[in-house]
Amino acid sequence: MKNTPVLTVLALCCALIAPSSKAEPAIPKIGFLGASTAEQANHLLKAFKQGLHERGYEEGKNILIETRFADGKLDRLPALAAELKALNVSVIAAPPHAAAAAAKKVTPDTPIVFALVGDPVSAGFVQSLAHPGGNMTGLSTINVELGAKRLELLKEAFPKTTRAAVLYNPGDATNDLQLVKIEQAAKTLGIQLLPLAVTKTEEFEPAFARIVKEHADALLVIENPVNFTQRDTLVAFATKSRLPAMYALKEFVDAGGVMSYSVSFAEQVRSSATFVDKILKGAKPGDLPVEQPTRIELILNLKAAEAQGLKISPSLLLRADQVIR
Amino acid sequence: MPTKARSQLFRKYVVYFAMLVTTTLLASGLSGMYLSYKENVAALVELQHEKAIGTAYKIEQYMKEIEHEIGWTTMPQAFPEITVLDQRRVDYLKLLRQVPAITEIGYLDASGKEKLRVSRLAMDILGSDKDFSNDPEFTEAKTGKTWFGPVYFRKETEPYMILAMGASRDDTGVTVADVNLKFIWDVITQIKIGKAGYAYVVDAHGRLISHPDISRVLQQSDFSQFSQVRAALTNARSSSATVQRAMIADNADNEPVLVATAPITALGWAVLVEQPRTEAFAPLYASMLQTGLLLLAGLVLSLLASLALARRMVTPIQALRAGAAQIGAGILDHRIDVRTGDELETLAEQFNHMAKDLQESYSSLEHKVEERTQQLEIASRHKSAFLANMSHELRTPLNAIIGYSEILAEDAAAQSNIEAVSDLQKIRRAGRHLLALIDDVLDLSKIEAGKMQLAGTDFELRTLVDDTLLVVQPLLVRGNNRLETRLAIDGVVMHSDAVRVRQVLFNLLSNACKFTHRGVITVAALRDTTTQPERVVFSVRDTGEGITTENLEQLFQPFVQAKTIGRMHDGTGLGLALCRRFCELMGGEITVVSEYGKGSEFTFWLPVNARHLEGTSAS
Repeated sequence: MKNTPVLTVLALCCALIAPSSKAEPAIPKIGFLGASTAEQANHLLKAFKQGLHERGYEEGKNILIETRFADGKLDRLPALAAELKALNVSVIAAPPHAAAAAAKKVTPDTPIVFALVGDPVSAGFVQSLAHPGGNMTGLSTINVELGAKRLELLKEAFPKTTRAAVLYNPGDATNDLQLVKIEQAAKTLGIQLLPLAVTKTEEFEPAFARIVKEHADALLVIENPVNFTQRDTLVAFATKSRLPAMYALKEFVDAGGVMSYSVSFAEQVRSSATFVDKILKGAKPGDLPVEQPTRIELILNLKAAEAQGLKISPSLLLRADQVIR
Repeated sequence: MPTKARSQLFRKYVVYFAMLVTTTLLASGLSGMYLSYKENVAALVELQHEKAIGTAYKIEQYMKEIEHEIGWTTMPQAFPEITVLDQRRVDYLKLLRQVPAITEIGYLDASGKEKLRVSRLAMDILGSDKDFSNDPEFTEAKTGKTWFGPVYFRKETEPYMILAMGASRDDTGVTVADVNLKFIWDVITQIKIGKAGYAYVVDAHGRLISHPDISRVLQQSDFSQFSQVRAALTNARSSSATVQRAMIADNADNEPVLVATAPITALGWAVLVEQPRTEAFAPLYASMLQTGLLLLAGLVLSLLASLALARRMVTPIQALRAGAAQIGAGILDHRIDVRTGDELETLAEQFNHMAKDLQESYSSLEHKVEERTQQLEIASRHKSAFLANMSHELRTPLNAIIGYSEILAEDAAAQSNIEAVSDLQKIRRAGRHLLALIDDVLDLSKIEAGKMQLAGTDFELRTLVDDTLLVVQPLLVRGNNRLETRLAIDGVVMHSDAVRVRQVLFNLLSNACKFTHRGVITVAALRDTTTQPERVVFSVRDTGEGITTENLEQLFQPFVQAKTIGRMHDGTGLGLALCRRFCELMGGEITVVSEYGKGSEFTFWLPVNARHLEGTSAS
């Protein structure tokens, strides 16, 4: 029985290895809920994955990502959020306000990380920025606050502006709040405001018609999934109409718009991966304070402006963080 | 026990050597380890402290840079007042683009009224005329210093600080900037402290301003209860040089960490650099482990060396001991083989030399003994021959004397010369005694010279005994002794020397008669068939004087008669010696048991058949 010790050791090793291989934690599964189309939100998903990568995650290796997109049809969001919940994901990353709201309705306990919410406190997502308390946390775009600033910058760029049209979605809580701020600013700036409610794609044509009819001399586009999805349509209309426009997102400028003043959505979504990481490591979303953006960028597309024959006042150029020539 | 002795010596040596070497090794190794531990800890602490200082310096530089950038805008302007404000706004816009950390910047005029406010978030304000004349940002900055306001949290999460700067001239106002301290995150996350180490910043109240985990900052964490933070702030407040460089403390997650602190003096803040203790000390532990393993290896080697050395020392000693034992046991041609080239080898050589000398003297001694023995034997033979011859030569004249004395006695008796008869009988008796003495001497000398031959014949033992008893009868009568016989030897036919058997029996009986008066003399004889060879046992017991213990010992020696009795009895003193010689010659044995004053019992036994002894001679 010379081999007995060897066999014993082997058996012990097997006994030690077997449970540990069994006990290897299952790869965490997270959900990503977008409001626009997969194609339009592709750069955001990429940024999100980049953020995860920076935190040491490799999709398929140590994290699984379930993605759902509403293709701009916000009424589909609750069903998609329910799908993710049914998949028993550990975290739902729902960057846009509408997606986060839908996820919140579906699940009171699955952690939800948002990234593009204008005012999470007003929206009822969190109790306070420092202590969210519930199952939601993430990053604020402070877009509600920035609405007034955008109108001011639009006026500074085009001092002759007197009548500005605002495209917003009254179903979106952030939009309503922002509109109030914008209206206050308009009074200060001596601008007459033309708020135009657009809740779905079909409503763009009538809105455009009204802008033309009412002789609006500037356009302010608030960010919401409907506008975001139809950004090409919007930019095309402004260009065609030679309408000075201020957009709430860089993506519109990328599509040919004249200027935007906002946080970087991609940057926000990338940062939200940090929250996902912390939650996967055991943090409670309610304990993670909501982050405010530190960089708000003014992007001017002089090329587009020139093409439209628009002249932007030089003082705004001083403020511009990025100028496309 | 030689093996035990050896192992004891071996063990002793091993223990001595091992103790010597391990003590030295351990002492040097441990002291070395201790010193290197101290040095390493000091180096780690120093390194950590340097990192803290470096971080503090970077943050200070970062704030100084902001201050410097703002400083440009406070330069006196060579424009009329209204244009100045426009120009200032342009400067501020530039500044906002230049310094992302500034969220808002405003201008207070010489009277402390806000004239301009430019913001990234809110709408710009021109000429609000809000009065700041009693606020510290105005009063402090007016003195010409840069005023760093206390840290406050915007929207309860974002750490902010007001930085106010006056201008160089009294008639200009003050620039007030709201600085977003979250940007310090960019500075501290660049500080790499091992894998798990990190740096963070607290304000003068111990509140967290910057931390790699931004959530902790946004939660407005109060770190003032941590001992390291308290120590850091104490260090920051006191400008004394004897600051505690580093300490071990528990961090916010209750993990032990090595903490080093450095003050940011201008702001009253402190930088803390923390690294998990296990990680910070990992290289230290590694080097300790390495040193420990080397020490262990050294110990094992030294133990092995001790074993080898002890073996080397014990082996020749063992060879010496074994060799000495061999020589001591008489194996004198044994030689000890020790080649150590030292005193032990010399000792072995001396042993060998001694053994050689002993061997030589032994062989010469043996030679001498042999020679002497031969000489003695020759002398003995000559003596015996002489005695034999001499006896013969003595007997002839003695027989003549006896014979003629008898003739003369008969003649005198015939002549009734009573006197003469008596004298002549005395002569004859003396002659016969002399003759018997000579016969005995002759017999003894024959035996000693090896010339006594047994004349074996078959004879009826009972007849022999009866004859002998008949002969002894006069002696019994003379001593008034009674004879008892217990003879169980009827029909026993012996093959032996009948004359000698008779001589022995007679001698014992005559001795018994000689030393007993009015007593009982018992003769017993029986045949013992239980022994091999078969034997006949005789015993002669008397109730006479007995023999003392000291005399018993030399009873069978020639020429010895019981001394206590002196010479009052006749006898040659050779009788018992001859009895013993005869018994032995016939293959038997004689013994005596006696108690002084009570009597003696002589017992002898002889083989029934002594044929095998014929022709041999005793020496």
